[in-house]
Amino acid sequence: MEKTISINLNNQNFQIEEEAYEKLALYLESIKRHCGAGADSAEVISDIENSIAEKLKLTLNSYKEVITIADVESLIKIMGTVEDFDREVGNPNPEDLQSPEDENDKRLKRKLYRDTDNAVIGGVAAGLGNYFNIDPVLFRIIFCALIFAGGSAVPIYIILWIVMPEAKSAHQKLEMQGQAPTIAAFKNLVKTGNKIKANWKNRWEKRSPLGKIISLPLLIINGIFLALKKVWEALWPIIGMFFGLLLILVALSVLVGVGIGSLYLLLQAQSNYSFNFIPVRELSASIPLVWLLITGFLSLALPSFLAIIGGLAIIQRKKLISFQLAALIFGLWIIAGIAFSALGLRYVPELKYKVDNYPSLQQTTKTIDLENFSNLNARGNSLKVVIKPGTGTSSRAVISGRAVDLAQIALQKNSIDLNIDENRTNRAYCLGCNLEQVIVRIYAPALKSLDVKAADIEISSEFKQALKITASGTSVINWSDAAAPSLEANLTGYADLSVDGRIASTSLIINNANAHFTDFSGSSLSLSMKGEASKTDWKGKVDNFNISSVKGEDSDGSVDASALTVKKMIIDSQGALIIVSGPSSEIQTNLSDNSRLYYTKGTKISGDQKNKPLVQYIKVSAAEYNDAEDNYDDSLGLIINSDSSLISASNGKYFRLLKGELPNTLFQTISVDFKRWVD
Amino acid sequence: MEEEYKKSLENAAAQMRKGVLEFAILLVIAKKKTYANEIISQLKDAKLTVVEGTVYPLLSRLRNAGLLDYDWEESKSGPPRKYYTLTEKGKQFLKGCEEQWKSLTLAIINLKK
Repeated sequence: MEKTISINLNNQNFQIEEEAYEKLALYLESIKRHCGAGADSAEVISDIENSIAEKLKLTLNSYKEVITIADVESLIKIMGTVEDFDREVGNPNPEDLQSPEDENDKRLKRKLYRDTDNAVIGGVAAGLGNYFNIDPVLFRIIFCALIFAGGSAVPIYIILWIVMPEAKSAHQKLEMQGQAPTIAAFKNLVKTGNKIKANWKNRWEKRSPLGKIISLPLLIINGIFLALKKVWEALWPIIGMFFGLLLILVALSVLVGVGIGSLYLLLQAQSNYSFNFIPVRELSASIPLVWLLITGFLSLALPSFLAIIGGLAIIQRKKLISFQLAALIFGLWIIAGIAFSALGLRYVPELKYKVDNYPSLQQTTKTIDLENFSNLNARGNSLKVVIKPGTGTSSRAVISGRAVDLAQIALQKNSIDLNIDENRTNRAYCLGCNLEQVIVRIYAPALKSLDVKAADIEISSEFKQALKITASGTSVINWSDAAAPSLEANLTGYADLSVDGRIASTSLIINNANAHFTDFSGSSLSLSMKGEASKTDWKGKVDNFNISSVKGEDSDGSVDASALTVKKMIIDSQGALIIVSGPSSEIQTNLSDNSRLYYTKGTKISGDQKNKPLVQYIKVSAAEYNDAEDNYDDSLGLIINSDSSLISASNGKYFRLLKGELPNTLFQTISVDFKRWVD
Repeated sequence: MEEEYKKSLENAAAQMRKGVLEFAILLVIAKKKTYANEIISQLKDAKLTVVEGTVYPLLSRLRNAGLLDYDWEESKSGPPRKYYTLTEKGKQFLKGCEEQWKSLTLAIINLKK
């Protein structure tokens, strides 16, 4: 591949190979010198240039668009060199001819280029040396000194590297050295392989001993840098490919995403369908939504398009579109961006205001007075029911939420039942409609039972009556600070019950559901559980705890009563995992093969224990986290010394003792294997 | 020997051409108003060896001597061209040249007898 240059000859443009250009420029230069100065010679030169232009034009056709060195050579043969001129017509005005001595003395103004032929790193110092006609070592010393004096040389060097163009062509190399582009100068360059490299050896020998010492590290740096350059040149195709692909992928996904998004919004704005209860068409009628979308799309799509082209160009290592086209796209992008910003600033707040104030999306509250009822049935995913005792004997429901959501909630009184149903099937003309929670506050002095399906229930602490709860679906029931005589709960299908407070008598039937009791106190507790996803945990104290697990099934639920102080416990388990605590416990067990009961030392145990499904455990309660220790085993939550002594362990974790003696105090040196079995 | 002979012959030929080139150019222009490239091609058609680059300084010199004049004319292809014509002085100069040429050829013929 040849580099071509665009030149203007007598107002005509030519593409010419660099080598051919240099030859042609030299030829014209020689004619100028031959003709000497003056208005007449300017005219002659213009005539000759004109003639050259005409001749060069004849060499071009639609298949050959670039002037080659051969074209220039045959042109010079026809036109004749200055030597031919002299022979044929004699020098017209010999006194104008400059003597060779003059020529040598006449130094042109040097130009600042990077001299990569004599570079140590980027050729900056060598270029400066050429420009000021000083040994570049001086600049190298200055750069090194500046590096040691605070590193300011590095950015300066990099900036110079970027700013200074590299002397690539023979012409530039001569300009750098301030040499006139004479035939002799070019011939010299050709001799050295188009390099102005004075060979190292020569320069080395010319240097003084001090110079040698100074330039030796430079020589080494140069070697390292050349090696790095080679590595970079070898790696760049791979890095470039990777970078290009990444660029294309990112830009393509932005393009596709923005395209689909804009198209969707455009269609949405044209349709009768509401979007999330917002009638987009109605609200956007007074604003130029289409233009907003078009300019928005272009603001993101045009740079993505350019990035894709750029990525492809990096991968294919060639220019794919002209600079003009790229500039045009860039210009369009700026225009689209300005238009989008202007439209956005003007209309988006307006649209937001309209959406925010759309009547059916406003929060409203509705109060319904009801006759007393004893059963409450609540069904619905986006329904939250707060149960309060109310005052006196009157019942009442206060419903609050967005008007659109309220419209979908049905309250129905049917003798002793109150049914709250979420009926949200009417979704015609509404896309992507997200339901928001509706809160129903129920004031029910006569409430006795609650049937919940998928709803969220909060029982107020003011409610102090006996309650029977049936829950299924993904219901979540919270009763905090409870104070009630009794609770009967039947939980199925991933229902979740959380209770804290005092309930004298509690009875739970659990099938694949969870129950959490914290700060709990009571006198009697009975638990029947099945389903492998069942899980209960207990914190507090209770007098009698009666666990009756369902027989037969491979139930693998867990009962964590490790934080529950129980006076007397009866366990009838066919597969559950049960953890109990407290040396004061008195446990009567009936355990089958695959049941496991974990207990602490000192617990009194009686009853059937087939295959010894009993394991002693230690609960780490007073943990210390010691930052200074390296041997913190995060997965175990244990800190163990190099001599295997236990330093501390995370609070609330349980460790099963596999072998060895249980220590009297936790922080005594022990040598036992710990295995975590419960997080 | 051979080389030197060839060189001196070439030199002699160049000297002779140098003498007649001005005359030849004036002859071409005298026939009709014309431009540089056409002058060169006519010279070539007439089998006169010509280094093209030399024609331009020569035309400029003849014009400075007041023998030629030119005016710009549009061309069908490319930029406008300089069309040269002989001035009155040029026509007279050409006549003088023709007389000189006649006597020169006559002298040579006589010498060859």
